[in-house]
Amino acid sequence: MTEPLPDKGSAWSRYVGGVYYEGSAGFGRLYLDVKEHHTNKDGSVHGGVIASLMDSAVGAALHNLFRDQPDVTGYSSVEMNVSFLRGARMGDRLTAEARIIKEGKTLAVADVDVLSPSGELAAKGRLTYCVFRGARESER
Amino acid sequence: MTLEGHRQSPFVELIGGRLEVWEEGLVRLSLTVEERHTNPHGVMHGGVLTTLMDEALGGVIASVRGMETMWEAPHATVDMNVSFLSNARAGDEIAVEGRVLKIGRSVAFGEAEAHRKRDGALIAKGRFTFTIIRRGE
Repeated sequence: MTEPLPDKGSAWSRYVGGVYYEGSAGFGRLYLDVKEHHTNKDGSVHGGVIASLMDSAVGAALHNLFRDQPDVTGYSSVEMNVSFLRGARMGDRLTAEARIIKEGKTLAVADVDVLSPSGELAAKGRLTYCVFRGARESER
Repeated sequence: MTLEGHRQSPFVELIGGRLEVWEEGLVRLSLTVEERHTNPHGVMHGGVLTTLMDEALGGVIASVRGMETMWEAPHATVDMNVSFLSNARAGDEIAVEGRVLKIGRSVAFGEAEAHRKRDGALIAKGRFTFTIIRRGE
C-alpha cells in the first residue's frame, strides 16, 4: 500500500524539508535534499537534520500503522539513539526508511536507516515512542 | 576466515553461551535460558543479552578486520544501546546474531539482534560502538 499522508507533518518537519515518499502499515520512507542551511561549517550535513528526518520517517510509519486504530490518539518520541556512519554533503539526496519493530500497548520501537545517494548506510537509529490510547490530551 | 585464533571470552563460557556461527561478517551465539539467568520475575536478565551481544559484535568485527590485525590493534566497546522488545524464560533457547555496520580507522559500529528460537520472535535489538586501539600512536 502506498498512499500519501493526509497531512504534511509537523511545522518543524516541514521546515527541515523531509518529503514523504511512500509507506505502508509500520513503514515510512522520506527523502531530503541536503541544502546549505542543513550543513555544518565544514559542509557536512548536521546530525540534528538526520535525527529530525528519522523522527519524521517514524512518524509516517506510525501514522500508517495506527490509521486504522481509532483508540490511538497520539504518539510522542521518548528516546532516540543514532549512529552516524558516513557523512553527506550539499546536493546529496538522503533517504530515510523507518520500520516499526515492536508495537506494544504503550510503547512502540522503530528502526531507521538513512541511506546515501549510492545506497550506503549513512546513519542508523532506533527510536522509542510512547503511544497514547483513548485518553484526551488533558487527561495525560 | 576460520575459527583459527578465535577464543570465546571466559565470561561468556561461564554463563553458558555457545558459538554457533563464526564467519566473516556474521557471528551467532546461542544460549539455553536456565533459572540462573533470570531476574526475580522469572524472565531472563537483560545483562545476559547484552553480554551475548557484546561477544557477538566483538567477534564479528574481528572476523572482518582479521585476527592478526585485531591482536595488533584491539577493538573495545565504548557504547551500547539495547531495546528489550520481548522476553525469554527458563527453558527457552535464544540466538544472538552480530553484524557489522561500519569499520573505520578508529571507530567501528555493529548491530545485534536476539531471537527466541521457539517462535522466532525478535526479543532485543542493539547497536554498539567500538574504539580501535592503536598502540604507540
